[in-house]
Amino acid sequence: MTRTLGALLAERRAAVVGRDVELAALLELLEEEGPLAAVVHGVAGSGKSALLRAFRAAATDRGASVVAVDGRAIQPTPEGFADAAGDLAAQEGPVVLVVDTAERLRLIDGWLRGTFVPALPAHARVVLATRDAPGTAWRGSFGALLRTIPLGPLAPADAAEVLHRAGLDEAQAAWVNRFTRGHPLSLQLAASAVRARPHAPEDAILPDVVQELAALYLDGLDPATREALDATAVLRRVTLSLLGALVPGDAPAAFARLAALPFVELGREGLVVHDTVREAVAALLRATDPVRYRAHRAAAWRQVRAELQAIAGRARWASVADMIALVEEPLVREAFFPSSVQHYAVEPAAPGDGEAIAAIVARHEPAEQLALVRSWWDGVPDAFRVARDPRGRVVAFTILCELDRAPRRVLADDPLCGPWRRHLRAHPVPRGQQVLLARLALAHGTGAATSPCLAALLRDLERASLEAGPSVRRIYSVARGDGLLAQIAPLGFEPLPGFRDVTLGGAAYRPIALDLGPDSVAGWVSRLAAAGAAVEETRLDAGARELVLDGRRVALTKLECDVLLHLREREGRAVARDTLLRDVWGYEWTGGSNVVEVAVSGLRRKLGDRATALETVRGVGYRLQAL
Amino acid sequence: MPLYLVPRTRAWLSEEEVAAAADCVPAVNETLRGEIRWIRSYIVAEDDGTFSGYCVYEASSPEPLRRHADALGLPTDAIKPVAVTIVAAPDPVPATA
Repeated sequence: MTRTLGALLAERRAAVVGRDVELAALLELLEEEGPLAAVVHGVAGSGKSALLRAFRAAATDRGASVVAVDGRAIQPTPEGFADAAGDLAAQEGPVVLVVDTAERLRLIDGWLRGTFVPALPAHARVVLATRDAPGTAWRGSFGALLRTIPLGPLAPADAAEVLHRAGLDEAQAAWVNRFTRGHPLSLQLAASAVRARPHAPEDAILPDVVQELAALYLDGLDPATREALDATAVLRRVTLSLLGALVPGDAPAAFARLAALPFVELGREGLVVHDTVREAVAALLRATDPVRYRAHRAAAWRQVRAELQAIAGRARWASVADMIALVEEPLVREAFFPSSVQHYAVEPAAPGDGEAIAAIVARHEPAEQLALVRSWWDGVPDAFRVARDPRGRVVAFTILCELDRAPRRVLADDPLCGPWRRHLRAHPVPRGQQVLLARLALAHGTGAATSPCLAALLRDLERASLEAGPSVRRIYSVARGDGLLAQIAPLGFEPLPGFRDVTLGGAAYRPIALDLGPDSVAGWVSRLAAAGAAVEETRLDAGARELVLDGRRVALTKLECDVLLHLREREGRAVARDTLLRDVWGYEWTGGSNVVEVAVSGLRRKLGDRATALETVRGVGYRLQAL
Repeated sequence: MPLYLVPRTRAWLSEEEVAAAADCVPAVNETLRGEIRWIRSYIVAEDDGTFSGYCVYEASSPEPLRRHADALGLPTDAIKPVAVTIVAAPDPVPATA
């Protein structure tokens, strides 16, 4: 019989074994002279979340308020984090902010450390759980007031106790612990696997053990649960609606089956399958049944796309994140879901960074460029972001500025901005949409060539563009040589057609741009994800006289196609009915024909739930919004 | 290309700095392709918690090794051409960087 969620929760709450020392260390936060912040770190599956749950319960028992934030479930921006943490100053008495999966917040690390935490009220304490040990920047900022708590493997006696609770006898427990070596998630999976298949191989060792065990465990699952797990391995989180789109039949039953698995957590946003297991399941499916894997991705894409279109406002972020999780392009994925240890902290440049930035420019660029960078630095210092190595030294920087905030004089004096301005005049963005200028990205060691610190910055640039919100339409940049363009071309950056390179101090710079399209970030991320999910994005294929709607192709009549083409070329603007008649039908008409209405209503029928994109402008004609 | 030994005393203040440098080295080496070939490094822990390195490279001359150190922000105590190499046994240490 399927267990209830209540039973599962009660079980998990009691399930922390053998972390007494770590729990006691955390509880020192509540003491008068105790530390102000603590970082719990350990590899995936080492039991960080379980320890945090135990700590939250114990802290609440001692009268403290606890605010819990999960790095996976929030928008990784200062606003998203502040929103999730709420107003800690309003809490009476001691309050602890507990942040799980903090490695997902790597890109706001500098802000958390330098701005958010120092501004907390004096009665607040902070606990972060993350995969990596805190860097020197954290240790330097907090010194002895930061408690670092590494989570190693469980001691043999504690591991035996976990296995005993899971129903294994002493001999089985001893055998399992020989190869799981006290790794909590492995212990749990192994216990389940042993119950299902008592003769499992015993030669697996960490870190492969989790994958081995996941595979073993999966073999023991009933087909329906396995199907649900396979399907949802492409997702960041599992909601009823997403599950319904991916798995045929009873979605609530499938949801309950997934929720009962030992490596699945019920979070605020839905179910979260433990990363390590999810990755193993996805890798297994991709290798053994690529057709089904792609079908799941395509189905997920369609559902997320539909949810993106239905949701407005802040809640939209969750669906944008769902879509980003479907993107295979590493520069985008890694910006939000970093898979490896990030050695470089990325943050806004500090006033003292000017010379370090100038030194990097002087190392790689002509003197003329240095003079221009200095004028940007004087005009808009907050457009500069830097990557720091663990010692805090600036190893790379970028300049990213909203066009509206760039001082006119700086723009006018900078020859590299000339093509951008001319292109923008010829191709203006609709009112209310934003233009960003990505003026320069350089690393100390490698210039504009690929390097880990530059990649960290480019990811940050990507994240900043996404963060700039639903209004970013276009990002202009320049590429010297092929190094930078090769790195960002997969995002959709292209040379500006018809513009020649700008020469500066003997070096040639190619003007490039990324147009995110009328639906801004959401549309752009959807296109990137569609490329990986093998689904076609909504568009008009005029050559084939077909409308591609979320992966389906719909045939159009010649007139419908021409009307749509005409309106799309004037997207967002009202087109007079008479103009349509003249340009599409090819004649002036003043009589009472309803040919336009017939074509438009045919189009609306074919557009289905996207029909609202084709608006009637009373007394004028029609307007097409983003498809 | 000749072989060089480059000692770097207290080049890294923490294990994290060693990891960050190891992360960055391939990208920097790529920019010096044809001039430098990194053979291997031995990193030793000092009593004060810092780390020093003894790095072996093939290089066309000492000059690209100086640029290499500058790109990585690493100290270079000396650049010594190796006169004789005596290999008694294959290196038993598996690569970790």
